[in-house]
Amino acid sequence: MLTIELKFLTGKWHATPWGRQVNEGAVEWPPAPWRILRTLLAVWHHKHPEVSEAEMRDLIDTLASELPVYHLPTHAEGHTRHYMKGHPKIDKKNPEKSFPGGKPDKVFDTFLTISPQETLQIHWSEITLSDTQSELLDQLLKSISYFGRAESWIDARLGSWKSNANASPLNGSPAEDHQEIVRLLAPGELDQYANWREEMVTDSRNRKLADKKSIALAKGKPIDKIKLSKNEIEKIETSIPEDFFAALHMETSELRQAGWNRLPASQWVTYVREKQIPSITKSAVRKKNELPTVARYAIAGAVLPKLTDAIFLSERVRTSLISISDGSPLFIGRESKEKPSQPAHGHMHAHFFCESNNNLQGRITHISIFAPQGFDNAAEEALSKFNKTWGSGGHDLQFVLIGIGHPSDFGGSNEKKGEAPIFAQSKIWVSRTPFVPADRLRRQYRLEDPLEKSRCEKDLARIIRKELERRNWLDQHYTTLDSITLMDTKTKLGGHETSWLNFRRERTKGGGTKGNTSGFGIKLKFSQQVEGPIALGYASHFGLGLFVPG
Amino acid sequence: MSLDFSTLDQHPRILMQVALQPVQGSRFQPTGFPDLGPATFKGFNKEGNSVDCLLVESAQSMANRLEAVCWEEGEGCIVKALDGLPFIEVSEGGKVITNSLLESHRLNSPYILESKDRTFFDQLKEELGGLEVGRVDLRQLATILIKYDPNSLIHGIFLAKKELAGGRLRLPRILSSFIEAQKVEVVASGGVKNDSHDPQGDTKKGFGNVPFHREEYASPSITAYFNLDLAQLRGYGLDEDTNTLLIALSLYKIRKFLREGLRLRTACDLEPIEDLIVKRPQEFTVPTLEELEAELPGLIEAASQHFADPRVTQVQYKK
Repeated sequence: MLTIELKFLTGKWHATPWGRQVNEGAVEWPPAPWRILRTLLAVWHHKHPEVSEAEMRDLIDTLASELPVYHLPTHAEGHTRHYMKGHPKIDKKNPEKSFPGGKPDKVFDTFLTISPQETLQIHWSEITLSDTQSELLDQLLKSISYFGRAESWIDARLGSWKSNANASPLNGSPAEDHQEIVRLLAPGELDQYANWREEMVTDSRNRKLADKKSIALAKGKPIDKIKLSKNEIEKIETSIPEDFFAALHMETSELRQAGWNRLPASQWVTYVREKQIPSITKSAVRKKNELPTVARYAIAGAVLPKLTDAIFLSERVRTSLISISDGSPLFIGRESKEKPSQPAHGHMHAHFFCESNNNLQGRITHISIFAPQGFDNAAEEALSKFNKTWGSGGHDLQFVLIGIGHPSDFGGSNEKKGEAPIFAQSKIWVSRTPFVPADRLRRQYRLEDPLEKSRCEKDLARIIRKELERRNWLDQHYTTLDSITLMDTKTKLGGHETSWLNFRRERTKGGGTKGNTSGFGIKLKFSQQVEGPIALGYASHFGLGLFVPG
Repeated sequence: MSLDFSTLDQHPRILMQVALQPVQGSRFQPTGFPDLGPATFKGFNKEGNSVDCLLVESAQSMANRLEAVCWEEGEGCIVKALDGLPFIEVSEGGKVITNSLLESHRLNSPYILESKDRTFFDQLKEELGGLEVGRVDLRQLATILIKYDPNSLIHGIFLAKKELAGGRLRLPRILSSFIEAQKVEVVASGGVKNDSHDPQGDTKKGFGNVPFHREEYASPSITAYFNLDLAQLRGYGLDEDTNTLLIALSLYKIRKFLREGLRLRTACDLEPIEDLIVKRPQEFTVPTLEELEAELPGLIEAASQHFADPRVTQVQYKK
């Protein structure tokens, strides 16, 4: 039996899982077996060069012979964002877009917070170390200054297993309701590696030889004397690590250079860990016996879409969540799974609200998913898993869950502080995205004529009152709505005037009734303060007809 | 007295911390992260209860602050106690523009490695030549860093240039630090910049009344943490004189930062409530700033055989 104990001296654990991008906001938890072994290697190289390679190999091979189980302490999630200096970029045509000192890249630093008093235990039940191995491991553990990223200061030592495992390999049985699945990188079957390597080398040599022959054939040269050069053979040999110990030393850059998508001698192992709703969601003030109704995300990506494309991004996010939640009717907009053709009533299902807060270019910075019926455990799980959209229809984007709660947990006018105006309270609300009536206006109005404009306002008031009535969660607003006025044809977006007509006002797929193709800017005045969100009209589930305090 | 670090021989690191408080009042201005504002998060207190926390100063920022205390800004030179310590000075058109102590990424500064005058770059490339293939020899890299810029060894380095061993040359920090506050409360305030002559004037040009809001924080528990990785330092295989110098230099930076570097922002001026506490090894006492200042010149000379000649390497920056 062998147990390692870790305490997190700063109360934080930062580590990006293998194969994930840092801006995805994912944290590897528990620490993968592969990471543990690589950390021991790094400590050996950096701090204990007096230890022989043979001793190290012996210890690493022993630790790699079994998959450990874990006892994970209580944790919560947090993150910061930094601008890192990137590569210089000179744009001669647009000097204002040049960054001679390096273009800043935004980087997320997502971490878990853990009580410094609590211990993470890693346990191998079948491994018994010799005295020499034990001594070496103890020496290495005590010399580990940080684990994962450099900000994760730890105190590591040999310990004794006094806990129950709350994270362990799945071993083929299905995960239970109180568990969640996580993939961890671990050493592969070591005794199979030599055979696998031999096959890989032979395959690579044959492929290379076939390539050379086909090139020669294309040039009309004889192929019977073609063979691989010493250099070519050596290149193939060195691209595939000699053994597990060498594979453990591989850097990501070497991995890419050799064209590997996964580290040789490694395997992905499915672990299950006890579910813990991150305390950031617990911290949200839950109304008694009420499910949370809002999930809010920050967005990162090379190119963020503009708010004028909100409807597109909302559709992409919805598609991802439908996939993650295995077709949850809450995200599709259906009454239930049993009635897949029956649309949901009362607009109680998911809305996707894009926000452009405190952004000089009017780009989307956050997306909030709002479902008045509330998120049950399955929906909450899907929301916790959702972290990216990719593929056709836009650039790859990463989403970092800020929290799950209620509008009051996120609402406020201070965008710099990360508050969401769409969930604030106000008497006056103005359009943030154009209102596209779902019902037909009585006729076309010439808005430049004040009298016509007033008639149009009355017509729109009729439609908007209907809209409020249709929504169970907005019907209280119906009684306090005092007046409706038409705003200018433009809105302020990223410091510039943008016409309502610049917004996408058509869904790419799906239905939804539309009485008019125009988009209107509207000001709603209530007799008392009302809480957001307010989203009305065609495609209001996709971010059109969204209002903010005026 | 000479410094005695023998109590550290068997210890992998020194963990230190010190409680801080605002110099005046109880509010302090947080650091602002892009798109995020103050970096608040849920942490845990000693009892294991969840509390609101704030990152007051990140590890990256602290590294730069601990370097800044080595530079006499007014005089434009290295502080007297560190005179003779190697660093790299960059000039453009005959005028000094920066140096490796002031540059965020130290030796990896674009002013040092991206200059069209490649004299120093080629010299560095030649000296690092043995590291082109195979595993990076960290000891050799440490020897080169001691020669030109020992601060890079203390605060870590990443020579992200393909021409230098394929961009694989990096060393973690020996000295890490950050400042955090627990049980934080937001203090919202604001005011108006008044223009009694023309309250409705064009605010873009500085006229008119301008209302502003301000958000500060208050906390009963602000702590600066320091971690000096002795095992990492020993791993570089430097001689005893050099190790003693680097430990003393690191402790000097901490002491000097706590004495005069705690004005982190205009409205974030902090001071220690107590003396620096050594959490591990508890038997170790950090020398005072005066003791360190007195000893450092001798320690610098004792390790001088490893330094570049002249000590300050000149680099010409050409665009």
